[in-house]
Amino acid sequence: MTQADATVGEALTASQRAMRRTIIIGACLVAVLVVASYAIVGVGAGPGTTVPGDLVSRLAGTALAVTVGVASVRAASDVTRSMAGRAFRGVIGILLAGAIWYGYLTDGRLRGAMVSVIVAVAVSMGLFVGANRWFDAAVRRWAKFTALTGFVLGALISVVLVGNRLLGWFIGSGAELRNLSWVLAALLAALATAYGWLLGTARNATVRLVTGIAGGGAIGLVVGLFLRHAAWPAPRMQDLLIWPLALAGAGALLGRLRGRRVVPAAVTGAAVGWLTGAWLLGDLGRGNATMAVVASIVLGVLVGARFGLARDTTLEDRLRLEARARVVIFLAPALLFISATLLVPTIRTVLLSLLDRRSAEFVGLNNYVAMFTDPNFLNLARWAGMFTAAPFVWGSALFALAIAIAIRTRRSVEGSVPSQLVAALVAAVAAFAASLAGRLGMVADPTGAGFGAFTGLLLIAAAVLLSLYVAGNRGHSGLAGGAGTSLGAGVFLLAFALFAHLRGTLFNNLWWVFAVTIIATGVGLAVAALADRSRGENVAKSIIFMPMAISFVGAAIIWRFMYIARPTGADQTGVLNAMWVWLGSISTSSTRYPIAVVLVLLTLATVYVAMQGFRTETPGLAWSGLISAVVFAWLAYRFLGPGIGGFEVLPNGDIVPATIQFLTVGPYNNFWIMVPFIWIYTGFAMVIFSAAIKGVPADLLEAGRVDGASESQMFWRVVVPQIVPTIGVVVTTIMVTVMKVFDIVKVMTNGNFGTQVLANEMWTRAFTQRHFGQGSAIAVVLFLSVLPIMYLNIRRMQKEAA
Amino acid sequence: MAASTTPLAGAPRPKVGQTLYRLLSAIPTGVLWVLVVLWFVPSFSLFVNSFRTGDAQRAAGWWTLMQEGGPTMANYATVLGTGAQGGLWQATLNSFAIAVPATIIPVAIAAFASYAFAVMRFKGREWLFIGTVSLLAIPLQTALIPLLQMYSGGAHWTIPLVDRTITLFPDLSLAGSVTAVWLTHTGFGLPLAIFLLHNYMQGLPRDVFESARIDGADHFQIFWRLVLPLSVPVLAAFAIFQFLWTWNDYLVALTMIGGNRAAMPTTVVIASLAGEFGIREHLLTAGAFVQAFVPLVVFFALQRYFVRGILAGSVKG
Repeated sequence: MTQADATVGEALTASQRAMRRTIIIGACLVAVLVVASYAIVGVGAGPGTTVPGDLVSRLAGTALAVTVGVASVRAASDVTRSMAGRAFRGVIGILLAGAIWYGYLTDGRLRGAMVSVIVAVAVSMGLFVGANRWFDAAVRRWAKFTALTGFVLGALISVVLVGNRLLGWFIGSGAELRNLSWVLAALLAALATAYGWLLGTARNATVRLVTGIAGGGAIGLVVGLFLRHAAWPAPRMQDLLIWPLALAGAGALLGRLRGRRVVPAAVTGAAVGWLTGAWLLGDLGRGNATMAVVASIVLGVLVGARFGLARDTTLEDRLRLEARARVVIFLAPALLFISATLLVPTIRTVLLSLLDRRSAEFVGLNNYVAMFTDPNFLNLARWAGMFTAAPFVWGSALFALAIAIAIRTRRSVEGSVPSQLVAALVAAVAAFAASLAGRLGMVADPTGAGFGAFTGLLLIAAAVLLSLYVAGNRGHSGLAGGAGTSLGAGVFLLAFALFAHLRGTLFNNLWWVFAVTIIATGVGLAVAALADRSRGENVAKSIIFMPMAISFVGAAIIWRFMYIARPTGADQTGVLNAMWVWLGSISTSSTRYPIAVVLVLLTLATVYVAMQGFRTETPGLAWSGLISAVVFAWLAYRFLGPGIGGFEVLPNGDIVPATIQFLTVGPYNNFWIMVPFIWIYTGFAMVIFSAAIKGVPADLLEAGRVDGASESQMFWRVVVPQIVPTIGVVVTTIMVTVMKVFDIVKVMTNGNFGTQVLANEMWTRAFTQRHFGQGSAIAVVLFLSVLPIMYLNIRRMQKEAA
Repeated sequence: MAASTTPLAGAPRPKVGQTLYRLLSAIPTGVLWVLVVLWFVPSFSLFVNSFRTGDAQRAAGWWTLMQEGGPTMANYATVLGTGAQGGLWQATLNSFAIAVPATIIPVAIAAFASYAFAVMRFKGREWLFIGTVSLLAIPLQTALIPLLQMYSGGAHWTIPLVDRTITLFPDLSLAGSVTAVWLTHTGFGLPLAIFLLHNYMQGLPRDVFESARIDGADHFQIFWRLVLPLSVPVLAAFAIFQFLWTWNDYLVALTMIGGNRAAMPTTVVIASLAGEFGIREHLLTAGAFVQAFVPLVVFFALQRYFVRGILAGSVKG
C-alpha cells in the first residue's frame, strides 16, 4: 500500500467516524428535543391528529431543526475566522434552528411548507441512494441485482400501463365498483421481482431459457387477463406475420454487423415487431379478449426468451455494467430535468411560434410578420426629428470637439495633420451647425425628411472618415484622454437622440442595452477605481453593492417612491421632485443672486486651474478644470437668467412649481425606468472591477510609479489595459441580463407610456392576451438576440475552464 | 483614483495654485462619497417611509419623520397580519417553500452530474457536457409557455405514422402551486450549477480518487465521502446565488402561480400591491422591506460568500 492509499483510507475512516459521531449526537438531540416539545407545546396541541402521527411529525420537524443547527455550527467552526465571527455565525445558526423547530411545532402553514420540502428532498435522495445500492449488488450478488431489476422494471411498466388506463382491475359493479388497479401494479412488480430472482439464480443455459420463457409467458398471461377493453388489440394477420419476421431479420443483421450473437438479436427484433404489429398498428379497443391474452402471452414469451438467452455473466461483464449504470445514475436526474424544463420546451416554443393563437393551425411566419409590422413594436415614423433634438446638437458638438483635439495632438506630436481628420472635422462641424440652425428655427422644415437626410449624411460622413483615420493610425490616433472622453460622451448623446426618436418595443430594448450597459459599467469602474485603497473603502463598496441583494420588484418599488410627483400645490413627497421644485424656487427668488456670485467665482477659479493644468501639461487637471468651469458657467447663467429646476411661468407672470412626470412622459421615461437597473448592476460591475484592480501585478504599478506617472495616467495606461478582459465579462453579462429585463418594466409602467420591452411584450401576448403564437415568436426573437453574446460568453468560459 | 497622496510632478507652482490644487485633489474622494450617498438615499427613503402612516406619507416627504411624531410599526403590522390587506407572512412562507427546494435539489442533482462529467470516463462525455453548458444561453422566457402547458395539462406526444398519443408527463394540476415554480427553477439552475461544480471538481486532485478506487471504494463512496466535502465552497457559492435568485424571482412565480393568492411568493404579492396604484400604496414601503429582509440578512451575514455567489452566477443566461 502506498502512502497516498493509506492517507485516503485514513481520511475515509476518519470522515466515517466523524459522520457517525455527528449522527449519534444528532439523534440524541432529536430525542431530547422531542421530549421537550411535549413539555413546551403540550401533548394535545402538537401537530398531527393521532398520537403516533403526532410523534412522527415531531420527530421529522425536530430532525430538520437539528440538521440545520448541526450544519450551521459545523460551518461556523471554520478555524480561519476570528473568534467573534465564529461565535456570531454559530449563534445565528442555532437561532435559525430554534426558529425552525418552534415554527414547525406551532404553525400549521409553516409545517406544511417544511413537510413538502422534507418529502421532496428525502424522495430524491432516496431514489439516488437506492439506485446506487441497486447497482452495488450487480458486482457481487447477481441474483439480488436481477431481482431488483425485475422489481424496478415491473413497477415502472405496470405503473405506466395503469396510469394510461391500459391495465386495470375492478371488482363489483355500479356504486360498489372498487378500483384495485394499484394492487395489480404492486402484484405485477412482485411477480417481476420473483422472475428476476429466478433468472439470476439459474446457473445453466437450458434452465435459464426455460425459466425465461415460462416466466415471461406467465407474466404475459397476467397482463393479458387484466388488459382493459380499450387496450384489446385487433391486429391484421399480415401485420402479425410481417412485422415480427421483418424486424427479427433486421435484428439478426444488426447483431451480426455489431459482432453480437445473432439469435438473441433476432428475438429482440421479433418482440418489437410483435408489439408493433399487435398494438401500434392494430385498432385498439376493437379486439376480443382471446386475442388480447394471446398477443400478451406471445409478447411475454418473446421478451422472456430474450432474457433466457442471456449469457452467463463474468465478473468483467458485471463490472462494466456497474460502471455504465453508475454513469447513468449520476447523470440521469440532471439530464432528465434539463430536457423536461429547458430543452424540450425551447424546441416546442419554436414550433408554437409557427402556429396560430390556439396552436391549432400552421401559419408559417405570420406571427413574425405581424410583430415587425406593428407600429408599437417598430416605429421609424419620427426619425427626422432626431436631428434637431438637444442631445443631437450637443452630441455632434462633442464629436467635433474630439476631432479638433485629435488634430491638435497630432500636430504637436507628429507635426502633420492627416487630410481625413480635417475632412471629418469639416463634416462634423457642418452637422453641428445644421442641427443647431434647425433647433433655433432657422430652417424652413427642421423635422422634414430632406433636412434630416442632409444632417444625418453629414454626421455619417464624419464618422466614416474618423473610423478610416483610426483604422489607419492605430496607437497614435491622438484619440486618448480628453479627445476619447468627449468622443465617448458625444456618441452617448447621439445614441440618446437616436433612441428617443426611433420608437417601439425593439428600440426600447436596444436603448436599455446601450444605456444600462454603458452607465453601469462606467460608474462601476469609476467607483472601483475611486474606492481602491481610499479611506472607508469597505463601507463605500458595501453601500453601492447592497442593491444587488434587493429584487428587481423591490428596486422598482423603491424608485417609484423616488419618482412620485404630487399635484403642484402640495408638498412634494418624492425626493427627486422635492429637490427639483426646491431648485426651481431658489433659482427664481432673490436668493439666486448670492448663489450666482458664488458660481461666477467658482467658474473663474476653475478656469485658472485649467490654465495651470495646460501650462504644466497635466491633462487630467486641465480637462477636469475645464469641464467644471463649463458646468459652473452654465449654472451661473441659468441662475442669473432663465432659472433652473421645477417651475413654470404663467401668462400673468406668476411663477408656480412644476414637477417632472418621470414615468408617464415619453420618451425619456424609458431612461428613468432604467435607473433602478443601473442602481442594482453598478454594484455588480464594481465588485468585479474591484477584484480585477486588486489583481493588477504590484510590480507593474511600481514600475509606473518609478517612471513618474500620475495617478490618472497610472489608471488609464497601466490598470485599464490589464483589466480589459474583465470589462468584456462585465459588459457581456450586463447586456444579456438587460436584454431580458422584465420585472422592473412590469412593475413600474407595465409597458405603458411607450416603455414596452421584449420580455414584457412576450408575457402580455402569451399570458394576458393568450396568443401563444405571437408570444412564442417574441420569445424566439429574444432568444436569438441573446444567442451571439451568450455564445461568446460560453466560449470564453470554456477557455477559462480549460 | 486617490490622487490626494501623490504630488504633481513638474514645475513648482505659485502658492494660490497649490492651495487650489489641494482642494481639487480631494474631488475624487468627494465624487466617490457623493455616489455613495446617491446610492444610499433610495433605500433609506423607503426605509424611513415604511415607519410612517399612509396619511403622513401622502402629506409630506420622509425627511419630516421626526416633526410628525416619530416612527410607527403600523404598516408592518398590517402587511404581516392576517387581515385583507396582509398576507405577506404567508407569502414569506411560500417564498421559503419555493427557494429552499429550488436550492437544495439543483445543488444535489448538479453535484451528481458534475461528478460524472469530471471524474467518470465514458463515451460522449465532452459533447454531453458542452451541450449541457450551452443551454445556459436559453432565456427563461423561451420555455415559459410550454412549461405552463405541461404543468396545467401534462405533456403528451403523438407518435407519427401510427398516430398513438402517449403521456410523457401526467397532468398533476401543478399550475398555481409552488411546486411548479421550484421545478422550473431547478431545471433552469442546473446548467450553471453543473458548469461551476464541474470546473471545481476537475481541479481536485485526481490521484486521490484513483487510489481510493484501488482501496475498493466505489464511485458513490468517493463522491459522498471525498468529493462532496471538498466541494463545499463552490456548493455554498452556488447555493447562495440560487437561493437569492429564486427568492427575488418574479417572472417564473407570476407565470406559474397565476391568480392563486394562497401560493404567491413575496415578490408577486408586493408587485400586485404596487399594481393597485391606490390607497394602499403606503403599505408597499413595509412590504418591500419584508421582501428584502432575507436577502439583506444573507448579504450582511455572509458577505464574502454572497460576493462569491454573485460572481459565480454572473454567467447565468
